Amino acid sequence: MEASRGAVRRSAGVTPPQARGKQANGGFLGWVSRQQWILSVGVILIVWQLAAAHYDAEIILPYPAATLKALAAALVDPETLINLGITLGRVLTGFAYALIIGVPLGMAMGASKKVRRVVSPIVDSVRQVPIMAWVPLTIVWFGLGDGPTLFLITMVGVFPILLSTIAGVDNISPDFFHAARSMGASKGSIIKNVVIPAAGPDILTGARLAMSAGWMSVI
Amino acid sequence: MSKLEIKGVSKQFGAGDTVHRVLDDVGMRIAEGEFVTLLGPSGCGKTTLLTIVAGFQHADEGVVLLSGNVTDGPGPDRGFVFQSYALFPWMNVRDNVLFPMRQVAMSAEDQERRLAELLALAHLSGKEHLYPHQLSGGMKQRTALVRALACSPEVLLMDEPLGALDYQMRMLLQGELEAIFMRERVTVLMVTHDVEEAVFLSDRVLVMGLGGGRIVRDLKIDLPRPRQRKSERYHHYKDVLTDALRDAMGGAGLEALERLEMGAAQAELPPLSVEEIEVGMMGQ
Repeated sequence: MEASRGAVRRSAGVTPPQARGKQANGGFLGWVSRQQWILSVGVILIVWQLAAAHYDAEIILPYPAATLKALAAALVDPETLINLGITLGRVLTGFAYALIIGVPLGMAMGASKKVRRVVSPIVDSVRQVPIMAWVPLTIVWFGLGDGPTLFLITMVGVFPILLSTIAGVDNISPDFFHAARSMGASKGSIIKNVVIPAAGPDILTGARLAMSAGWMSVI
Repeated sequence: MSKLEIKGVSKQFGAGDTVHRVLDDVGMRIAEGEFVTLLGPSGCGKTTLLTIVAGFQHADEGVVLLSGNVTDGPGPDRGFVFQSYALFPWMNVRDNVLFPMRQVAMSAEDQERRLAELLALAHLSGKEHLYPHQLSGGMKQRTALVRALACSPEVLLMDEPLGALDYQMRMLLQGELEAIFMRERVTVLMVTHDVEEAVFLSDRVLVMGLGGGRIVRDLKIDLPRPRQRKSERYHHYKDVLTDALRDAMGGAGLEALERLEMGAAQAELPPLSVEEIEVGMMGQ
C-alpha cells in the first residue's frame, strides 16, 4: 500500500507539467509557461521605453537602447572587468570567512544547549547592529584597504549561515543520533554521516542568503 | 547466567511536586536466545525501560547487565529497531545496512558477504540502490531490522517495531520477523501494546502495569515454531494476556484508550485496529 502511494506521489510529481504542456499546446497559458522569461523581459523593456520617452531626458531616465550600449561598452572595457574580478574576489573571500565561522559555530550551538546559552547573547546583540554602523569602526580598525569591505561582507554573511545551521542541526530527529550511537558511530562519524547530510539543505539556504547579502553590501 | 539482566532500575521525570516516578525498582532476567516481550498499556514506562537498556538515557537507580557486565551508554552490542525506523534518508538501502559495519572496521569482503546475507534474509536483494522514501513501510521495517542485526549484537531491542504499519501488513511481517529470528538466533527484548504480536513472536511475555512499571505477569508462551495463529492454545494465551493487560490498566481504561488514540495521532499512525480498540476499552 505504501509502495503504491509512493508510486502515485512520484508520478504525480512528473505528470502535471507534461499534461499541462499537452493540454495547452498552442494555448496562451502553455505559451506563457514556456516563454515566461521573454514575456517578463519584454514587459520591462516596453514599460522602460515608454517611461523614458515620457521624460525624454537622459539624466532622469536613459532609453533602454542607450543603457544596453553602455553595458556592452563596459563589458569589453578591461578596467571594468578587472574591477569586477576584484569585487567578485572580495565577495567570495568574505563569504568563505562567513562559512568558516558560521558553520562550525552553528553546529556547536545547534548540538549543545550549553554552548547556545553562552554564545546566543553575544550573537543576538551583535546581529542587531546596522551594517552601516560598522563602517566608521572598520575604517579605524583596518584602514582604507580591503579590510573594511571584507569585514562587512563576512558580517552580513555570517548570521544567515549561523542561524540556518543552528536550525538545521536542531531539527535533526534525536532517533538519528540514537541510531548512529547504538551502531557504534564515533563523534566524527556522526558529524560526517548524520549532522552534515541532515542539516546540509538548511546550511545551503543560509549560504545562498549570505551570498546575495554579500553582493549587496560590497558596494 | 542471564544474557541481559535489569536490576532495580528506577527513573523519574519532573521535579518538586510534579515528580512522576515512571519506573520504580524494576528488574528482570532474559536468557540467551530468548525472545521476551514487554507488554503494557501506553504510559506504563515500557519504552522508557527499553531506552535505558539501550543506553539512550540513564536510570536514576539500578543497573543493566549485559553478559554480566554493567552497560554505560549506547553501543553496538545492543541493536535497536525504532518505531520510526530511523533509516538515514540520505543513504540508500545498501549504505544504510553497511553503516554499522563501517563503524566497527569490518573488512571489505566481510562487509559485502554480510550485506548479501542480510539483504537475502530481508527479501531486499535487488533493492539495495533504493532510498528510504522509495520503500514501502514493510521494506523500511525490514531494512531497519537487518541494519540492527548487521554486527550481530548480543541483544536486539525493538520499540513497537510494527507500530507504524497497518493491520494486514503487521500480520504479514510478524511471520517474516519470526523467520528471520529463527535463522539469526538472537536474544530479543521487544516493547509492544499489541497482544497478538506478543503471543505470535515471544517465548516469554512480561506484562507491565501502570504506575512504577512493575511486572504484573510473567507468562511463558510454550508453542512450537513457526507459530500457528489458529491453534486453541494460541487463543488461550491471547485471552490470558488480554485479561492481564486489563488488570494492569486497573480502572484507567478510558483514560488509557484516550492516551492510545492521542499517541497514535501524534505518531501519525494509521487508525487503530479493532484489536487495539478492544484492548483499550476492556478496562472500562
